[in-house]
Amino acid sequence: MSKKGIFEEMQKILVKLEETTPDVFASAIIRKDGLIVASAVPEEVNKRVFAAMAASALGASSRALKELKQGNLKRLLVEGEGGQMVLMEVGQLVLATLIRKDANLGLVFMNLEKVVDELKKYA
Amino acid sequence: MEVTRFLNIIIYGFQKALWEVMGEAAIAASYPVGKSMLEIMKKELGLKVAGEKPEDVLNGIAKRLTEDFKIAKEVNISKSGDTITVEIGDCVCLPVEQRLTNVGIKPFACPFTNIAMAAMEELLGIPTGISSLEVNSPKCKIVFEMLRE
Repeated sequence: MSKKGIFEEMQKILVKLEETTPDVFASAIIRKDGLIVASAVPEEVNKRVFAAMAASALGASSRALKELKQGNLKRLLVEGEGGQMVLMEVGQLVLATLIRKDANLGLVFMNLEKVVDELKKYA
Repeated sequence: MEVTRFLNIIIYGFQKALWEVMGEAAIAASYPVGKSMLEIMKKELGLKVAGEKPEDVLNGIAKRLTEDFKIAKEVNISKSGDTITVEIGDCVCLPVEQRLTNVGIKPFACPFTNIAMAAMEELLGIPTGISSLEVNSPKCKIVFEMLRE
């Protein structure tokens, strides 16, 4: 499949995630070097800078866990006053999602795991 | 020359520290670093970047960096499909890149690379990533990958 085809497939995965999981209101698939490959984020967000921040946050958290000998990072959950951000590692990719502050986290995580499984073939 | 050496030690220190803290995700800093550098170079040093094709943009930057700022003696650019290969000869930052690769760190603060990435995105709307950066003194070979969202 061409690079363009892969990006389109990833975009579809994000659209499906947001349709099936109403608590997810923005999402992106980012490469670990900070490049966005697919996204469904609000227009006012500087996607390029957000991608760099997400990749950096995941990288630093992963290093911290390893330094503390707590194994590999499963997910990074950042709680804000207005909402929450979840970052998950999929090989060389990062799945970044914004979720509502009162979200059903169990259900969200379950659906995110499914997306991670789908993304493994591209990672 | 001693000042260059000292500045290179500072750049090395920052890159190594970022790598230790963030791992490979430190490469994500390349774009914000390049964006800031490009802004200053345009505002304070009169850098004008133009072009409708990636090669034009990169050649324009290469010309200024070699002829005016003299950070390298030569820059050769070639494009094939979605990849652009840049070979830089006798760059003032070569010792930093060499030192980093010697300790297993992928250099991510190459001035040409960072500025080029930011310019490509700003002018052409093409996000660019670094596929590889090889250091073989006195040359560096950087392969860019153009990624369209």
